[in-house]
Amino acid sequence: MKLPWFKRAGIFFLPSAFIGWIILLAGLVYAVYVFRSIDSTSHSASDTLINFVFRLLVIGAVYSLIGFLTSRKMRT
Amino acid sequence: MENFEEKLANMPKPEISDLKHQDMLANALVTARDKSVLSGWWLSVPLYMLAALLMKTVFVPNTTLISLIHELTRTQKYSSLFFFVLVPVVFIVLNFMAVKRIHYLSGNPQTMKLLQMVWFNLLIIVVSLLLLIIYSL
Repeated sequence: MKLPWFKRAGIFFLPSAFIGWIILLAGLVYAVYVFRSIDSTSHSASDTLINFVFRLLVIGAVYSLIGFLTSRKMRT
Repeated sequence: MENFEEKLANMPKPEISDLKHQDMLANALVTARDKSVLSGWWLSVPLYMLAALLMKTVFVPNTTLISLIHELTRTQKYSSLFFFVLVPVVFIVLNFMAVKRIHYLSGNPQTMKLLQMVWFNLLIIVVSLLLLIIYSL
């Protein structure tokens, strides 16, 4: 597939191709799933948020790694 | 022969408006910023863990940051090693290489000029070193 999939805007990697949008959507869906999963077992709102923010940062880190690796055209 | 000399005199000289090393420097600057953004995202995870542990020291009596980090090392051996050792080391190396490349391509610039170009990369290196130091205490 042709690169780039993402382009950087500030501190975010934004999709610039269809596959990029799929990856972003998958990340968002997974974040919602994680939130619901944590919320179902947590004891309070702060408990949910403390655990969710950690997971969200990990998801963001993995997403930015994918964005970084696929934001450049491949060298031929 | 005279005609040739006349032609040669009137011939336009080849001009290069953009030097290749300027392109290389521009590319290196963009790559360095990309690397610093990536580093920021990855370092936010251990920084968040550190902030959570600091909050815990406030609310749980008789605990210190160091004792909580030691507890974390015991209970979450591999993830703490990953986030507090591997991630900072990798990003120190990546950002140091980016700074070194910009320093080389910009022809040994003045310190202030270099700082303006790579301040975020240097900040990432300092934060990574701090994480390593805190974890090793």
